[in-house]
Amino acid sequence: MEVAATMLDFHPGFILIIAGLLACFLPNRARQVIMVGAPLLALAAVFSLEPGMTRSVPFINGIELVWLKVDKLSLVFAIIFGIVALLGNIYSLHINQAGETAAAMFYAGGSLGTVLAGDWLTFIFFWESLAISSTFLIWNKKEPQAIAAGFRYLLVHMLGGNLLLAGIFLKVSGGEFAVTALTGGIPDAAYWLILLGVAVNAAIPPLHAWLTDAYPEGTITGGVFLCSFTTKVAVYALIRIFPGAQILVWAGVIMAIYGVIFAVLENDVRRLLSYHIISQVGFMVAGAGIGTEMAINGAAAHAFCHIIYKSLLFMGAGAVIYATGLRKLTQLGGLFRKMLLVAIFFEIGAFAIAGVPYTAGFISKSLILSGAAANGMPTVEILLYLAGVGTFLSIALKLFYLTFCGEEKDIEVKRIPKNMYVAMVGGSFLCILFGVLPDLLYSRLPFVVAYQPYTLDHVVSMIQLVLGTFVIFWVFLPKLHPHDLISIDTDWFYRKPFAALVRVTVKVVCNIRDWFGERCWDILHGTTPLFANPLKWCYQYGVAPKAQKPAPDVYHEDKYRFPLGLTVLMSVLVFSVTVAYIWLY
Amino acid sequence: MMKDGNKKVLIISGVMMALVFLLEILFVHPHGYFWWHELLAFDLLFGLVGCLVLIFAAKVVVRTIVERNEDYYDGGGSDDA
Repeated sequence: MEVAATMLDFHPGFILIIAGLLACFLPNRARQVIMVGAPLLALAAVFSLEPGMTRSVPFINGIELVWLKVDKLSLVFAIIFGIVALLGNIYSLHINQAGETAAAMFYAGGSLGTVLAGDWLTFIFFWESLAISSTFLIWNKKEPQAIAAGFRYLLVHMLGGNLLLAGIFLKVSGGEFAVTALTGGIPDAAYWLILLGVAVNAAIPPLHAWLTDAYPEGTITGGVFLCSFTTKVAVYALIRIFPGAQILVWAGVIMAIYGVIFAVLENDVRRLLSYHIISQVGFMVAGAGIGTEMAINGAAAHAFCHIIYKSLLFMGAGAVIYATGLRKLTQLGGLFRKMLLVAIFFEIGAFAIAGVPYTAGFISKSLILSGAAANGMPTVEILLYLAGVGTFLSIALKLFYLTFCGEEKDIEVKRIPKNMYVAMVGGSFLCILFGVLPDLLYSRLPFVVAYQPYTLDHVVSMIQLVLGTFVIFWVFLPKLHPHDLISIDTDWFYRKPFAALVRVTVKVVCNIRDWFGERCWDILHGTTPLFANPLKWCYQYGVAPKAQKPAPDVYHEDKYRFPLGLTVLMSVLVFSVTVAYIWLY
Repeated sequence: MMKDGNKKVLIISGVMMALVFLLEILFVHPHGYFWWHELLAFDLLFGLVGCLVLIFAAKVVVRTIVERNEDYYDGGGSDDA
């Protein structure tokens, strides 16, 4: 009994990290077993956790590392991280890339470690491990574009991680070790540093450009993991550390609208989906900022559902890219017949993200909207509602239409592996399951839910909204066709002017070095002839015998020998001076 | 053909809108936090107008600021690529 209890107490994140290590060394078949087995084991470990559990080990200077601290909030995130690790691994069963599998497992394990961490040091350790492991999911695509994007991604995350670390240093050196809410007091330096560090990972504009820059460049299978973890861990951190921070309400609203507007312009399939991550995370950030029980529930529920449908959408988009080798909407079109199942799964995810009734998005988004309304924030509610219109417009309508419907193009379609279908079936099933049975999720939320999503009023409103959006989409369809253009974002600042600044600085430094080097050469060249023959400067006393006279530059001892008379003179002089000195004194 | 299909889709959506509108008038007892939650067909109008606003904002306003050619970042943009 005792043994069984300690076994089940095992940290689910460690299971995935150990599995990731094993995956590096095992042959392909065994790795596939681990890819399914480890997330299942981790899920079992997650379900064995009870709110209130804590585990810790002593660390230096009397600090306790609380590596496991469970409450209802961390548990709901841990459950969904376990589920998506399983689905993502099933989706990637065919890849035969030990490095990528290991990175994905570390990434999922690190996310579990962060949400289950009880103290700041454990928290930052796992937080940083996310940035590192996820970078390999981008680099593993091995194209120059992906390598460059991966470097930019890593640099931005190192900046964010260091801001967070600085804030955590202030906290820990002040004797506060536990990860707790910082709102309620007067914001100090640590508050702002931690908020900025978390804001980078939550992709709050203008710190969001790493996401839309790097995620579309990731591998097809890595994209499923990327879209699920980093931003949602940040949402967890915002709910845990900054509940009710007013600034987050408006940051969230701006994110929600910003994402959908850029998505309307976007041509790259996965970049469009990435803009919708920003938009959806905006809902959660706003929910965390509102900070009432209902809004916090909404933010946690929306993160949960978002991971399901967004990973499903990335799976669908990945399947299209895998099958066709194309990633731009201008190249795609008319795939409905050729990829019927993918189209259906994709549209289930699209309806879910738009919050259509009986899908996962409906039960969580409406919680946040009602949370805003109940808190007396009409502007917030109406702007988030508007973002919902944009979500339906650009994913369920535009992205779906331009990929699967529209004009039939002559595109060759490769068969996609069966495991991809299995993962998409799983994602679609969960999308509908939580949509139909909301209490499955509601019962696990941090606070008791007294909310009924399925009233006739709500459902009719949503159908009206969807119909209204559809009519405008249909009328303006010609205007919505994409072009072979890209839209610049705030990454422009570090990809253009900052890059130019670096180039100019390097050039100036190089020029100074070159100039200095040339002057040194000049001095060297000017002075070496003078020292080429040191004998030139010696006074020549003797004359070498004529018969032996060698070439003028060759040393000849006779040439420099003192004459005998000079030696005698010196001796007499020294003798006289010595005698005079002794005699006089 | 395109024209006909277009019309058909619009007619079907028009009929559905009318049905939903009827459903709202007959069966829904509005309850809401703000006055617009109680307006008839508010969500329909919001969908129409909101969608127009978003398309206008993106395709007319934001587009002129942010759109560039695809090789924008390739021309001497980064030397680590």
